[in-house]
Amino acid sequence: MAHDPDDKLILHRAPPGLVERALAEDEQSSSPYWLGLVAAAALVGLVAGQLLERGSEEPARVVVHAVQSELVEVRFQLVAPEATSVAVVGSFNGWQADANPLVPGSDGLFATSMDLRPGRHEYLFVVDGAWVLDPAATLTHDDGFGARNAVLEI
Amino acid sequence: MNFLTLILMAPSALASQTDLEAIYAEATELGVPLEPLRAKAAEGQAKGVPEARLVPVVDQLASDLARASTLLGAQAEGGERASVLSAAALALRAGASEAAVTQLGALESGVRARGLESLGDLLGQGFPETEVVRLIETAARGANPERSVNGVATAASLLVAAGVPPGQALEQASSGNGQGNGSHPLGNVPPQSRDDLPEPAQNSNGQGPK
Repeated sequence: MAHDPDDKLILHRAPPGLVERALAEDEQSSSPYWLGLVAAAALVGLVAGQLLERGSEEPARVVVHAVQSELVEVRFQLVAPEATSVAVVGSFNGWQADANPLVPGSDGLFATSMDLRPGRHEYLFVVDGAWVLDPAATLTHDDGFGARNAVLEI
Repeated sequence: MNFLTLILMAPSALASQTDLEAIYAEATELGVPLEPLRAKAAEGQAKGVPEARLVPVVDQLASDLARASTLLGAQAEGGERASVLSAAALALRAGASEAAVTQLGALESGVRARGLESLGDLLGQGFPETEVVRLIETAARGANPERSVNGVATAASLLVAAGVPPGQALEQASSGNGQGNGSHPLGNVPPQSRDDLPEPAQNSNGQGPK
């Protein structure tokens, strides 16, 4: 398999036991975030970068690749078997919940792709109307309003 | 929402919009870009944040941007002014010293904003400022500074989550020599996914970075 020398693959996976921990914590907490997470996610993946293995995708991963020099294609993916609607909101779409819905697929998988400028972006998922933090996010940031946003560096 | 509710809400919404316009006007006078302020207001409004809470947050951001503008001066001019000032404001809000912001504000223009954002993100995770500044500068002097600086905070966070001591995590994140990354076709890039990470270290105690 030939690799473009500039290829780069970034994978974020929900850590093992994430859902179990979320469920356990939810039983002890009234946090709306955890309620949203439990309702939403068995697994969340988000990847930024360029295809390392074009055409090689696994259900638990999201692959993102450059589409042109100024933009990077980012694919947001959420496995949320109980959800009826999922969207992604963030600094890239003015936090508009109807701007980027994720398309439902098989096994509760919701996904969408969009072209973003390289740099730092903040985002959240909206699951059945509830704004939830990506539980697989490596970086989060205080939004100033009493909650946190996930941070994506691409 | 009925008509009566709309009537009752209207004065409050009008007042907050007036407050926001006043903030924008003052920011304009100070030469602060309005784009980050309008974006923050839009974020709060989209999240349904009460107006009484939204306005102070936007006002605080305006103050941070003005402070960043004063600190960076000519280092935040041109097409990247808004992004550099936003990054510096983020760093200041995370507790960065003015000296650190000024120091990283001197980075090359292509990596200045990213360096300042990484400063804010890493300070927000509890990493010590002196080490963070040194390592971002090191990354910025590398062969591929944009790639090296971008993702430093994510990489450091991932490494700490994997049990790497914070000091080592910073070194590995900035040098791109993290364990588990040696076979990456790009070679010298920081680990940027959990798949790149080593097994948790023996001394992992589940605590955040110190």
